[in-house]
Amino acid sequence: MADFFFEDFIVGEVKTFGSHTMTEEEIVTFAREFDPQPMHIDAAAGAKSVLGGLAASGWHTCAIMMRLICDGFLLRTAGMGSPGVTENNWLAPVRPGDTLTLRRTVLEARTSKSRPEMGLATFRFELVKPDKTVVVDQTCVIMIGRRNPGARLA
Amino acid sequence: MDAAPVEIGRFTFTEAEITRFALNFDPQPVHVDAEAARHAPFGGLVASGWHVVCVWMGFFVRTQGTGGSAPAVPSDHPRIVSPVGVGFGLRALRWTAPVHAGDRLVFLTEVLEARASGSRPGWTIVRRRNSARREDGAEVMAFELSHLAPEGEPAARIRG
Repeated sequence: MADFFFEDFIVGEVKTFGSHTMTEEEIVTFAREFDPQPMHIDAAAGAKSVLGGLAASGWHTCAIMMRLICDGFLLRTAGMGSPGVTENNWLAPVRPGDTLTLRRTVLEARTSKSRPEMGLATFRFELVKPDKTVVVDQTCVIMIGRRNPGARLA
Repeated sequence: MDAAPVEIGRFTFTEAEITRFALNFDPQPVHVDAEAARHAPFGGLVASGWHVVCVWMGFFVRTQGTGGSAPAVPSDHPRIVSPVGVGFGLRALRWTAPVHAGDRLVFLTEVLEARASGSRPGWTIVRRRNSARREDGAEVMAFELSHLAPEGEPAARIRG
């Protein structure tokens, strides 16, 4: 039984969850499989790249964000999947040793007439470093089961 | 405008591959627990949406980031250290159908726009539509990607 349902996501609420410290080994391992550009695999190539040093693939940061979303609340939520991501921007490089925290803002929450068992919540997810630099900024919609399917919301 | 999507690869999402990715990055039961997934709406294990996107990127780098047939360039040339370049971001990412264990997907890319960077000489700003289809033609994932590509990136030269 889930702890969190659609009704628990209040528009405007901001919360932070978890943290993950990136290692060079995981950056390189991910990149070898999914983004094998030398700047993500080799420190010398990274230093000569526009990123100015070894940096994680942006896709890796999205995957880390997904993991923080899961561990932070989604595994305890009556989630029903996601239709997609409205927008995702990579704002700053992520390097070995960087610690990333997830900041979640509930932007919108709406119920569905055709599917009264669920609602759609739009979230802003940001990965934030300890110095407050936002490295990834994403707007994403998640379908979430309702505690009281079909009930009228105040 | 060139509007033909180019195939960059095909990949079968086996149960083992789906679970391996998801245990690291998206451990929802529908991606990691075959037994629980059987009783969920999709009726079985399905791939994480991010897994599908990451496999797309793997093919994109391997097929487009070859430096083309241009003359040799120094080992610190952007075309060598960052063959497909750096992403600004993506928009309109849609997961339109579940990817079940055993599904084989076709990965595609298509340049929508390519223009010289105003602030970085030698670089091109590329906007492209990327997607994955089942072999029966049904699209399961699509997104628009904007990235800064080193000039000479083969796909960046495909323009209208």
